[in-house]
Amino acid sequence: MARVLVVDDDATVRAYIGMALEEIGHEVMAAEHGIAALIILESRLPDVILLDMRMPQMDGWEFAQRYRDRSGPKAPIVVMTAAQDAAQRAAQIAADSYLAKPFDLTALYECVERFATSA
Amino acid sequence: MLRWPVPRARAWLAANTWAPDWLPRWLRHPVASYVAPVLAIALAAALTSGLEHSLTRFSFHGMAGFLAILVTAIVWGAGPGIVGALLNAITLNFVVVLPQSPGDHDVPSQIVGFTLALCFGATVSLVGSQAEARRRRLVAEHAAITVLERQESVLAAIVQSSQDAITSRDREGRIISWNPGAERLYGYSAHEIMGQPYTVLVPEHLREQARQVVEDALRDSLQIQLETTHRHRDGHLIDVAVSGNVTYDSDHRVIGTAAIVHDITARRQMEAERDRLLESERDARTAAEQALQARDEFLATAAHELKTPLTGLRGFTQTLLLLSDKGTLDPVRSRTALRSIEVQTNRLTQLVGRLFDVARLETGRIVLERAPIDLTNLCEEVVATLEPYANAHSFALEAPGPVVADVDELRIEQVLTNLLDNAIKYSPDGGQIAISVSSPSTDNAQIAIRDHGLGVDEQHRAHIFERLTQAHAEDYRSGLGLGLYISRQIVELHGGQICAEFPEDGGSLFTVLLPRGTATRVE
Repeated sequence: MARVLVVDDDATVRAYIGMALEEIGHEVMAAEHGIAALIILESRLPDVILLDMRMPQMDGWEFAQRYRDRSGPKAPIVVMTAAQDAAQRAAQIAADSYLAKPFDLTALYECVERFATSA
Repeated sequence: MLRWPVPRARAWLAANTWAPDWLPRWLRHPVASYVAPVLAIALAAALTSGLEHSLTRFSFHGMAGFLAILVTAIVWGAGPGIVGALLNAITLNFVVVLPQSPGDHDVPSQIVGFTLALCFGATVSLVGSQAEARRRRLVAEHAAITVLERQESVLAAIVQSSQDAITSRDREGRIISWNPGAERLYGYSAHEIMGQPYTVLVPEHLREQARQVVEDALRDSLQIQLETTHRHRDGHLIDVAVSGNVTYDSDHRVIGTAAIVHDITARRQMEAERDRLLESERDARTAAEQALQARDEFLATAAHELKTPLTGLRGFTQTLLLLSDKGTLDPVRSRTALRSIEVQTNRLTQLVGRLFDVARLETGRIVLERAPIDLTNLCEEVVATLEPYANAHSFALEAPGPVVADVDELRIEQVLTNLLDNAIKYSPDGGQIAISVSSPSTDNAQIAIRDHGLGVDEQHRAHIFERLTQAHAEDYRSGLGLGLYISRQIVELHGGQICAEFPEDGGSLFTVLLPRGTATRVE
C-alpha cells in the first residue's frame, strides 16, 4: 500500500492514474501544478511523487527545486514526460526514475510498487 | 714619333680585311688572309717559271700577278691585296726579271720597275676591294630592308586579324591607327575616328581617370594595364581590359601610346552570373537548413503534443480492460473512463487535422469551395458552439445585419473557431469577448474579435502568425502553435488579410478582412 502524489496539468492523466492505482489499493493525491503540489506536501508525505514537467503556474523543474530546498523527509520523484529525451529530463532534476509518456499501465504499477516496497 | 702610324696601319688593315661566309672557316682566319696573297703570287711565279721566252715570261707573270692581286683583294680585302701587290712588285723586279738589255737590270731601273708595279698592284687592289665592299654594302642593305619588310608585314597581319581592338594615339591623344578589331568593338570606322581624341571612347565619368592614366604613362614611360568601361558608338557601355604602352620614334623620344583593348563584357557577365548563382545557392542552402531545423522542431513538438492525449487514451483503455477482467468495472468508473477517452480522441483528431491542414497548405493542395455565406450568421453559430466551454466569459456580437461574402464556409468557420478559442483560452479570468461583423467597403467584409485577456508579449507579437509560435508556451499548454498560422493561410488563400492589435488597456484585437467577391452583387 503506497501513498502517491500525481502532479500533472492534464485532467485525463490525473484521473486515469487515480483510477488505476486506487483499484489496486494505493492512495492517490492529485495536483494540477507545482504550487498545488507544494501545498499538499505541507501536510502529507507521499511514498512517491509522479511529476509532469510542462505545467502552468509552476513547472516540474521549479517544483523539484523548491521541494528539495525544503527541510524534512523527502519522497522520491518519478518524472512523467512526453519529451523525446525522458531520461535526460529526469537527470536534469536528479529524479529517482522516469516514465516516458504514453506509458504502459504495467510500467506504472511496477514503478509505484518499487517505491512502495522501498518506503 | 714612329709609333702612331703602326696602330693606324693596323686599324686600316683590320677595316680592310674580310673573308666571305662561303669560305671554309680555316680560310677566314686573319692569318689565312695574309697567307693567301703569298700563295697567289707564288702560284703566279710557278706558272710562269716554265716559259722559254723571258719577255713572254715577264708579261705573263705580270698578268698572272695582277690577277692574283685582284682576286685576293676581292676575297680577303684591300689589306691582303696591298700585301699581294708588294710581293708581286718584288718578284717581278728582283726574281723573275731577266737581263734582256744591259739597262734593264741596273738598280735605278729596277727601283722604277718595282715602284710602278707596286703602284699598279695597289691600285688594282684598292679598286677591286672597293668594288667588293660596295657590293657587300648593297647586299646587306637589301637584306635588312627585306627583314624589316617581313617584320612589318607580320605585325600588320596580326593587327588586321586581331579580334581585339589595337589602336595608337599621338602625344595629344588623337587616334592615329585603328584596326578592324577596333571597328567591331567600338562601332566607329577608321575613317570616322582617325584624328579624334581617344576620350570619345570613354564615358564622361571615367574621362578624368583615363586622362590621368595616359598622362602618367607618357611622362614616366609606364605600361598601361587596367580594366575599365568604354563606350560604343551607339552609346552602350563595354567592359574592357586595356593593355598599353608608350611608343617611341627612332631617336627614342616618346611620341604617343598604343593599346590592345579586349572586350571583357562576357567575362564580367559570367562573373556576375557566377556570383549571383553562388549567392542564390548559399541562400537556398541556408533556407534548406532552416527548413530542416524547423521541420525537426515541428516533428518534436508534434510528437510531444500527440503523446499527451495518447497517455490518457492508453491508460484508460488498459485500466478499463483490467477492471473488466477483474469484474470490478462499475457504471460510474466506466463512464468516467469512456468520457475521457472521447475527449482525448477529439483532441487527437483536432491535432491530426491541423497537421494535415498544414501539410496541405504548404503543398498548396487546399482548394476553396466558395459560396455566398452570411458571416454574421456564421459568427453566431461558432459562438453558440463554444459558449458551453466558456463559463466565465460573455459574448457580444455586433453586426449591421447579414454580411454576405464569397467564402469557403468550413474554412472560415475554422478560422473563427480558432480565434474565439484563443480568446477564451487566453483570458483565464473571463470577461467580455466582443465580435463585430461589418462591411467597411462594398468590396470587403470584416470580422473583428476583441478580448480582454493576456494579450501577447511584445517580443512574440511579430511572430504570432508564424508556424510553431506559441506566445504562451511557458505558462499554458497551447498546442502545436499552428492555429494562427493556419488561420492566416486560409484568410490569405481567400485573398484577405488577418492582423492582430494589442490595445493599451490589455487583451487582443484580431481583425479578418475578406474580399466579398461576387457576393457583392448577390446581396
